[in-house]
Amino acid sequence: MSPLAAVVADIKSYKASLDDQTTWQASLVKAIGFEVAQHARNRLALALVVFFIPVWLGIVRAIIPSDTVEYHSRVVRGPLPVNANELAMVSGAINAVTLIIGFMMFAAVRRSSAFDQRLVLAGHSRACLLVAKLAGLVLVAAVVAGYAGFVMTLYWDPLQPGLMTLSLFTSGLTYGGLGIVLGLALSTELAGMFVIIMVSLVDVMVQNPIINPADTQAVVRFLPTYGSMQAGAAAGFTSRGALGYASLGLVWLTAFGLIGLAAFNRRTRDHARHAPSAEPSATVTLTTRADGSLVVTSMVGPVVVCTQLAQCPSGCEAPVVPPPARARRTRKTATS
Amino acid sequence: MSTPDFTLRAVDLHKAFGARQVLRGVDFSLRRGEIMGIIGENGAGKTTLLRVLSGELKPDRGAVVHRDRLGYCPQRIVVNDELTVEQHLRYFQCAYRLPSLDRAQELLERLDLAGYRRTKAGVLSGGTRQKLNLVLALMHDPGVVLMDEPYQGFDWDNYLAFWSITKELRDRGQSVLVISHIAHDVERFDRLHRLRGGQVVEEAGVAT
Repeated sequence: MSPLAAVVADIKSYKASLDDQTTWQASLVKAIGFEVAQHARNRLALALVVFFIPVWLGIVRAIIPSDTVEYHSRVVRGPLPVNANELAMVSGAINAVTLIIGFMMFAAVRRSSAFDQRLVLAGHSRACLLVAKLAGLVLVAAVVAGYAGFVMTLYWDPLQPGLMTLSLFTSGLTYGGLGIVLGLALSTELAGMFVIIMVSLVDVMVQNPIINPADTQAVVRFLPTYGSMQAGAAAGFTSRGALGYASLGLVWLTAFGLIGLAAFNRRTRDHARHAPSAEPSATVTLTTRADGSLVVTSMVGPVVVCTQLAQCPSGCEAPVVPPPARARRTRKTATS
Repeated sequence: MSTPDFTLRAVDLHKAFGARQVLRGVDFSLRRGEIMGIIGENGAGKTTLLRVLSGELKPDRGAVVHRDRLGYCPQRIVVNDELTVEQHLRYFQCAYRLPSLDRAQELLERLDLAGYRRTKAGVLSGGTRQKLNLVLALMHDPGVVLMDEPYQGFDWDNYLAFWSITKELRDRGQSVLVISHIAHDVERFDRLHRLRGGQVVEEAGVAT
C-alpha cells in the first residue's frame, strides 16, 4: 500500500470510528468535515479561484505600466520605490483573494442560516458550529492564498514568497470574517455581494499610491487589509520581516468572529421553556377589568392570591415589590 | 383547556409584525398521547404560531412551556442543499445526541427514502425533500412533535405512511400537533381547533 493510500485509509477509519460518537469533539470534527464539503461543492467560487486569479493577475501584468512609484511602507518607515506593475499585482492578488473568500463565507453562512438555527434548536452546540465555520475559513483561506501566491510567482518573483502568501492568507481571513458577519446580518446574496465589493473597493483603492499619493496613514491604517498590504509590499520588494503587519488580519478576524458569535447567539436563541414534569409550577393569566378588578385564571397548579401581604395566611415573608410600569397594561401574563 | 397532564402549553401568546397583530392571546394545552390539529385560513398565523411554539420565534407576550423533547417539522423545508441525506442524519445525530441512527433508518425505509442516503438534498424532488424534513423532526423519537403542513408534496402512499407513523407515536404516549390550512381526514385527529382572529378556538362540529 502506498503512503498516500495508507493515509486515506487511516482517515476513512478515523471517520468511521466517529460515526456514532456525539461528544463535543466528535461533533466538531464532523461539523468541520461538513463545512469543507459545502465549500468544495460551491462550484462558482471554485471556478473563480481557478480562473479569476490567474486571469486577473495576467491583466494587471499586461496593462499596468512598470513605472517606479513610491509606496509608503511602514516596514521601512518611509517611501519605498517600487515597480508599479508589481505593486499592482500585490494589491490585485489581495483584492481577488479577499473578494473570493468573503463571498464564499458569506454564501455558506447565509445559505445554512435556517439550517444552523434548526440544528441549534435540536440541541447542537452553537460554539461547535461557529468554530467549524472558522476552521473551514482557515482551510479555504490557506488553499486560496497558496494558489494565488503560486500564480503570482508565474508573473514575477517576490523577494519573500512565503511572507507574500501569508499576507494573502491573513487578508482572506479578514474578509472571510466579514463574510460570516454579513451572512448572519443580511438576507439576500445581492446585498452581501455589494457590501463585500464596496468595502474591498474602498479598502484597496485608497492604499494604492497612484490613486492616493499622500504619505499620511492616519486613516488608511484602520482599513481591513492595511496590514496585509504592508506585509505584501515588504514581501515583494524587501527582505525585511513583517509578521506583525501580516498578523493584523488575525485581529480583524477576532473582531468579526466576536460580532459573528453575538449575532449567531441572537439568531439561534431558543425562546421556548422546558419544564420538567415534576416542577411544581403555576401558570396564571391576570386580566384587568374595566372596573379595575383583577381576574386570575390558573392554567396549572393552585394559586394563593395575597391582597394584604402583612396578613398573608401562608406566611409569605418576601417584601412587597411595587409593580413595574408595564404591569399597568390591560393584560399581563405571568409564569412561575 | 386547563389540564395538569399537558406536554406542551401555550399561555396567552401574542405576536405582532409591525402594526399587524398575528396572535392575540393563544391559549391551549397539548395532552400526552393525542393528535391535535389546528387549521386556519391562509395568513391566519399558523406558521407564526408554530415558530413560536418551537422556540424559533419570541412571542411579544405570553409563554410556551413543554415537558418533553420537541420535534419540529417546519413548513419551509429546512435542509442544507449542499449536504447529502446521510450527512444530515449525522449532523442531527450529534444535535440530538443519539447513540445510533436505527430510528432514522427505520423512518427512511418507511418513507421510501433509504435509497437517497448518498444524494445531496439540493437535487432531491420537493416531496423527497419534505420526507427528509420530516425524518429530521422524528429521528430522536420526541415526546412532542410540531408539524406545519407536514404532508405537502406527499403522494398517497407516503401520506398513508405519514399517518401510520403519527398514529404509532400517539399510541406510544407521544403527542403530535399538526397545523394545516385544510384538514383532510378529520377523524384522524383526537382534537381539532381553528386559528381564527389570532386565537385558537375549538372547531365546531368536531368531537373532542
